[in-house]
Amino acid sequence: MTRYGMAIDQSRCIGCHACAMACKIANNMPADVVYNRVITVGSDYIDCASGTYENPSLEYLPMQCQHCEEPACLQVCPTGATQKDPDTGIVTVDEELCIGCESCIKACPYEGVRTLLPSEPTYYLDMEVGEADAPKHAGGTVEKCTFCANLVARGETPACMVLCPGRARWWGDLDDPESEVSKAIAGREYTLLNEEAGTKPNVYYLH
Amino acid sequence: MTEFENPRSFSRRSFVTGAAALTGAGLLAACSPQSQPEQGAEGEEGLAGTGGNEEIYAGACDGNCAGGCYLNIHVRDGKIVRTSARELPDPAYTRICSKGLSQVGRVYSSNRLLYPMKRVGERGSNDFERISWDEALDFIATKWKEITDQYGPGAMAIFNNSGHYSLCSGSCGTSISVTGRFKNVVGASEISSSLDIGCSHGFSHLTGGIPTYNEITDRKNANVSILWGNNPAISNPHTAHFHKEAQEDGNRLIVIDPIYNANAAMADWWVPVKAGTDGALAAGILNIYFTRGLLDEGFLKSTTNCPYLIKEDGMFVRMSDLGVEPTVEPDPLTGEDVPVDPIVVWDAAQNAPVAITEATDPLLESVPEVNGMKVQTVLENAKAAVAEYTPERAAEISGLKVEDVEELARIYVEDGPVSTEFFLGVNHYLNAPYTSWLIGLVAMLTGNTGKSGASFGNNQIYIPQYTHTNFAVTMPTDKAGNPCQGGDPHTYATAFLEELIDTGKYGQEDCVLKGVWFTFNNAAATMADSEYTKRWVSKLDLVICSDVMMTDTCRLADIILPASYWFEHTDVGSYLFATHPYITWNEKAIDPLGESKSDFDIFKAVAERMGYGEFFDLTEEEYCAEALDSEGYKALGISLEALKEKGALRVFPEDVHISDTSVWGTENGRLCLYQENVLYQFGDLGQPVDRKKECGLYWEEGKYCGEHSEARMGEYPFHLLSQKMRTHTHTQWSENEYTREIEPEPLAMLNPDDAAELGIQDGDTIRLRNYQGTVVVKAAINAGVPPKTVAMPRSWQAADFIEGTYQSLISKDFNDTSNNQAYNDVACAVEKM
Repeated sequence: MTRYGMAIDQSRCIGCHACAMACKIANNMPADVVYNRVITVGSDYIDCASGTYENPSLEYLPMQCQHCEEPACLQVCPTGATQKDPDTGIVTVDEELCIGCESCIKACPYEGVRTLLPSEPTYYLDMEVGEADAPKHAGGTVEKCTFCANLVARGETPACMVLCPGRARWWGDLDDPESEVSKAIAGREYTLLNEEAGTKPNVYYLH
Repeated sequence: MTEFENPRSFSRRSFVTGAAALTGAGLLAACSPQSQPEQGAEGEEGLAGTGGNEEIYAGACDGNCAGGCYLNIHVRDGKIVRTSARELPDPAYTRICSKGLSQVGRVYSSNRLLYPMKRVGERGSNDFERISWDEALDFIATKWKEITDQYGPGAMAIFNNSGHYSLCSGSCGTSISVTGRFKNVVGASEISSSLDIGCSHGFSHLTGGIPTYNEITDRKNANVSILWGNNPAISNPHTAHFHKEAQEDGNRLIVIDPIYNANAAMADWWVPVKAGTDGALAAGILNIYFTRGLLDEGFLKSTTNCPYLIKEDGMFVRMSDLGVEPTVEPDPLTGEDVPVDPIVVWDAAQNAPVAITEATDPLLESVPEVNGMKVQTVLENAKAAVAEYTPERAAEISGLKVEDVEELARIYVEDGPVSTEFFLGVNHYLNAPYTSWLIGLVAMLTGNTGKSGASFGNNQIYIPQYTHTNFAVTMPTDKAGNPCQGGDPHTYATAFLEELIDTGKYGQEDCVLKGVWFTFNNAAATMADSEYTKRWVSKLDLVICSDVMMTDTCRLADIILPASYWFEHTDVGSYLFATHPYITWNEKAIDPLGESKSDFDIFKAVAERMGYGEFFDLTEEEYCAEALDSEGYKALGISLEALKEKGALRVFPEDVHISDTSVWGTENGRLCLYQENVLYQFGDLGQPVDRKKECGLYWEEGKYCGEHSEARMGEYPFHLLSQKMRTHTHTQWSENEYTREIEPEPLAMLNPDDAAELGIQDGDTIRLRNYQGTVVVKAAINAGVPPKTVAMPRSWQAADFIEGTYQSLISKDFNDTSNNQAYNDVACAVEKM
């Protein structure tokens, strides 16, 4: 039994979007659909500081599905499309079963980590990019970060984890104290987003 | 006619991924792990490996962020499907960014040039028709010959730029690249891109231009790192982790930058200097050193030209002034006989003026008359030059507190070793040569160069590659052994091109320019004053543009030649420049798209059609082999064969390169605080020159952006300050729809107070206008932008702006002696639309 999770060291994140782009390409994402993005806290525009010039604040928040221990999306799914893999802890949406009802979007305490594809999506290129077994992107379904379950199944790491330029991202089994992610978290202060929602997220934001 | 008629609208070709496209289980079953394939012992099979159903090739990202990232190019069914970071020998250097990861969006962009095209409408009308390579080559050869027959070979110029940093392209400079070979074979002249060189002009005065930068793996040995006009988190994201790791190790990270950006957010101390006033800050620090005697006198006497004596005519006292005739000795570099007239200093030990080599204790100040001549020491001159920049005055000009100036001064003296990561933020002003001389002195007079932990400059590595390349590769001979004719000696600076074309005069000299070949150069979108660029290009008889993408510059051309993309031919990548210390072998991962050809094959084809085929009777690999065939490379174990086998080879012999600054590159190997002769970067064209500004230490505020400038005191109260983008390298990637999701359009960023005063909110459309241009863009509120400043990326093409262009607001003016485009010396007014 494995409990996959991530640690993201915000003090090392330089807001470069490499994680988001690695995800975008690896998963052959359609136009204007992302699983993973880097938010500039307090602005709709990247790299715009908040506050005043005398006392500015600039913080980056890489954001995707938190693959919670007790996912709110799981209980509300009427078709069983949302599933949590008991062997890995990865939360996925089966596009064959999803009816696009958006219950999961409403139940999830995290904004913007899921996308409803109202119809068949469009792509920038007339060819498939990324991994050969990238997820399908079916119209009428909701999709989100899969923790790159296809890669994890063959022993690789999720695309966003392959090489963070700031060396800020750590991946592995949270239940294994020897895993990279557990070692990265050990002794560090961290935040779990929207912890009060009680879903027990598996993405740790290190300070 | 052309598929580029509406350049703003990229074709969003819809493609439905369904069951038919992805056969689910079948493909899944076929996939074995795709992690890095084994890359040892490739031997004759090269570096390509296979991962599952993918083939993986080695490729270099050759854009001018100059990261030189080494990439895995993943190919499936003959198409590149993704790119990933390829391991470098030292994994700390292994890197990739959002641009490198989205290469597929460039390779297969609908904006790719796929076949030669010929202009059929008015120049600039954007009307082109597809032609064959034969037609294109015939057209070029015929027109080129007409021009050179009438006006000589120099009437055609090559204008290369930074779009493709590989050995077989033009971006590495004409002394080593295949563009240089072509230029020398056809006898063409050259146009200098005239950018990014204002600070190097200052350093020519100070150090003679020797490298002062230590490899970035040395940063952990510094006590303090100061990012001064440098933006690694955005411009070189691959290097940011070195700074962060050093900081976590106890190094104090200081960022001197007018913008509170990702670097400032990471810093232990952000110093919010007013943009363009860094020189006043540095002058204030030097003032503290001089008035309080904080510098080591022995160092000033032995290592700087402070004891040199300046006569009233501004020249140094030399032995000929004491009646000793100059001798004639062979120059150690050229072997040619040159007159030697040694510098004279006043030796306190002998209480007399003596040749510098004879002095044991040269006086630094208060030297009596020499042979009846009143003299001033260089130190006295320097002290006088910065006397007005008291800490209070420096603080006032630079918008800092007096204690900030004091603290920076203290750090360089007491907290070393200090590494100063100095880069182009300071460069893009008319005052850049003066500013850089002053800032360089702060670091160098306090001993913060030339040893572990003490580095000055930026981390782009190019000196070894440049030094070791076998230059002969650009000066070929024919089969009978006769050398090619060689290039025309002129390298024209951009600001004078229109006058040259109009009048046939370059300064006082008669010259002719009738045609230009733009190669990997989007001058129309990247040079200052886009209207000026369009104007001078429109006056030419022949305009050729070779590129991978349709650009604003291609749109001005008569003939467009489609160049293949970086991964579509073999080449040596990361050549000039790279922010890692390796050259890399770039494999051909896929065939060139459409009818595109590599830069090498394009130059070869044109040379052949013009009758110079004998000088281009070689392949890309043979060119690379010859270019790497030098004693310098042999000593490093570098050859084409070794490179093909290993993929990446280090260009420094030592594990961590530390620059040697024991002998400076000046006349007597000393740091200079004064030059007796005016140094010209683009030549003496008869322009008026003020010796007070050029020979000694000096600072003035920006001509347009300075707070007391006519422009900002009058109608244009904002400083327009250009920003680098995360997802563009200059205009490259502007055609990439993947990166456009992150940065979809040009944004003008304003301080919240200014925005409130003008009634501007996030997303509003605003107009920026000034004395020469206008642009309409969206606004964003950014508290990291100082008051009365517009911060905005300029790396976009004309169609990306709602109206006008950013570049239309930038003056093409040069400093009197430096041909450096002053992208940040701009004032503007802001209006809500």
